[in-house]
Amino acid sequence: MPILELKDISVSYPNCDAPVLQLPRLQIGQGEAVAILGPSGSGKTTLVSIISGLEYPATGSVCWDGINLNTLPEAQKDQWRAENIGLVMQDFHLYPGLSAFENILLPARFRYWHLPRELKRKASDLLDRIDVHTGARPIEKLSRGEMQRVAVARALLMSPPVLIADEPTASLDVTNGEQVIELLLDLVKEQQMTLLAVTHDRRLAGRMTRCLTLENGRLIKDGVNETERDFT
Amino acid sequence: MIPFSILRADFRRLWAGAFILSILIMAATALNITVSLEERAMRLGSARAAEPFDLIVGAPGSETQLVLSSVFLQPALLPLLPAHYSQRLEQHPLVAWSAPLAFGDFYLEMPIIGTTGTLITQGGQRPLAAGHPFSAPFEAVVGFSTGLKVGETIKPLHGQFGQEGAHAHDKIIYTVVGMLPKQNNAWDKAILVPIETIWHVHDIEEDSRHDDDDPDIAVEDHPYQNLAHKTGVSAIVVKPKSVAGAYQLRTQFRSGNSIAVFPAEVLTRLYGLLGNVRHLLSVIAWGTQLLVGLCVILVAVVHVNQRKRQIAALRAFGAPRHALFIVVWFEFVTLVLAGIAAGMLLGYWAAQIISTQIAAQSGFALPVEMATEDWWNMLQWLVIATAASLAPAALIYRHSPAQALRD
Ligand SMILES: Nc1ncnc2c1ncn2[C@@H]1O[C@H](COP(=O)(O)OP(=O)(O)OP(=O)(O)O)[C@@H](O)[C@H]1O
Ligand SMILES: [Mg+2]
Repeated sequence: MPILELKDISVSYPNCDAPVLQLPRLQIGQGEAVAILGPSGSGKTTLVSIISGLEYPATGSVCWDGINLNTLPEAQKDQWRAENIGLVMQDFHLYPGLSAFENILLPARFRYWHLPRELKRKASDLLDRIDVHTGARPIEKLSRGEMQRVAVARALLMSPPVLIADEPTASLDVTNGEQVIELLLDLVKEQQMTLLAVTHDRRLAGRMTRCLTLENGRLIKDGVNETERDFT
Repeated sequence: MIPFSILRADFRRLWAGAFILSILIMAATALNITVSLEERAMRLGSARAAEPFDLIVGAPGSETQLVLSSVFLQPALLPLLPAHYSQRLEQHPLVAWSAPLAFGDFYLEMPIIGTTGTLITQGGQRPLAAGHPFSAPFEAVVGFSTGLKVGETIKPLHGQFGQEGAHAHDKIIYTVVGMLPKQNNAWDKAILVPIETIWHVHDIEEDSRHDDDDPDIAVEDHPYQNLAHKTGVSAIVVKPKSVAGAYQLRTQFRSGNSIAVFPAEVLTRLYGLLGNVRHLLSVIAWGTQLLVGLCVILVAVVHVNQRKRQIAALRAFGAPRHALFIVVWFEFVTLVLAGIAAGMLLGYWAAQIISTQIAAQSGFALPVEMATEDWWNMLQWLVIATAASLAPAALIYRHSPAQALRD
């Protein structure tokens, strides 16, 4: 039973003639850990936008667990995303001026008048887990590795069934990168999440259960653990 | 729904810009308020100052000058009216009371005015703050703010101190016997003496001048030289018995060798002339406010555009649009409200200071009073500002959350 089903997807921008993404069919099952690979400009980020409902495809349907995102009104889609998708973006998008703890809680604060105590506890558990102990220090004064880990923790706060990460290790050095990979995979295993990660990082791709390779907006490879190709 | 931590973080991060913006709003509001308050203060102040003067009779000349000199005690050359006019008015059947005024002497820049006990008590109706009206020559009743006390003595100066031709009346000494109640106008700094004493003093003056061997200091050089004539009065304050009587009196004393004016009417005419200036001032004030408003909107739009990605990211993480909208709107409204509130206080305070300064310099009270009109005015600005802040905040609805993922 696939958790995500894409059909006849096509995305194009007004100023390019060829569609930047074209996927006749793609299914992802519950609990899969999928790496999305491909050269720069191949449409990886576009795919992430489509499946997380941030962007509408020109044609085709995106169904999560039977819910067709294309038919959801904007506000409901935001709500759906808040409840179902944990997002880790390439440039973190942490909120300046707030501490690591507050950043982890921020999306939830928009949803509750009164933040439940469990969420606060969970946020500090996550901080322990990612080994960030920076107290009240504002987020912009943290190292990139710490920021990346906070971004991952934020995505996990609401225990979403799906985690989508766009290049979660791209801006990190080897040690920090490995740390984040371990963290992601551990947490995914623990919470039995479905993980989709765009990456150039072969170490990360190698740890996933499935690898999708895009080129010029088309899926050219879909296989288990194939990371032989070197993308630069 | 609205994370206040975000508001705090934003204000802390952007405090410099926020501060400057509210200062701008504050300045524009303050300017507006001050102009409107001072304009009203001027109207109120002069209306109140003119209140005790129903009708003023003087020698033919400028009506405006007659009013300015008698109501506001502005020193100026007034042609003199023979004293018998004063007697005629005192006995006139339409007159409740009347009193002559003779200007020209000063004591420490405070005008010494020759008059009668009738003016001091306003026809027997006004109690003094201290002492009693003068009952003998060389007694004086002082205004409330002269700094003189009952029992003190005064050596008057003919002409204002420091002015050409000013000189002391050596042999003349007045003794303060009474003090007028506070009136909040130029009369608070006036010294009232019996008009006969003034006439007498200038008699002596003239005699001694004739004895002088120095013809250079001609009496004619002096701006107040007319006063040297015996038994002239600068103006006569008249309290008619009735309104109808007031009009009749005006007609009677308007013909021939005297003029009669209603100060309130003259002041109204004067304000009519000043109307253009007032209008210009308020246009400037409103224009400033408009410019500041446009500037704020510009900054707001630029600001929201700069935060596009940040806001888009928050949406991607699940923040509802309306909550983001409220956050941005709330931030602007806070700024604008703070600016307007501070501006109102500053404007009120500035108006007070200006009024106090003017009062200290001229003795003319400019009462600063908030009127319902001002509150409406401010309310109107608040509503406009609140509504205008909706526009930049509404930009949020136009941003796509996918923008957050793109550089
Ligand atoms: N708003 C847009 N307007 C026009 N073209 C766009 C727009 N956004 C993306 N594209 C184009 O779509 C193509 C796919 O972009 P996308 O960001 O998905 O690539 P990517 O695989 O994520 O690349 P990278 O590895 O560099 O992040 C690119 O050729 C890009 O130039
Ligand atoms: Mg990308």
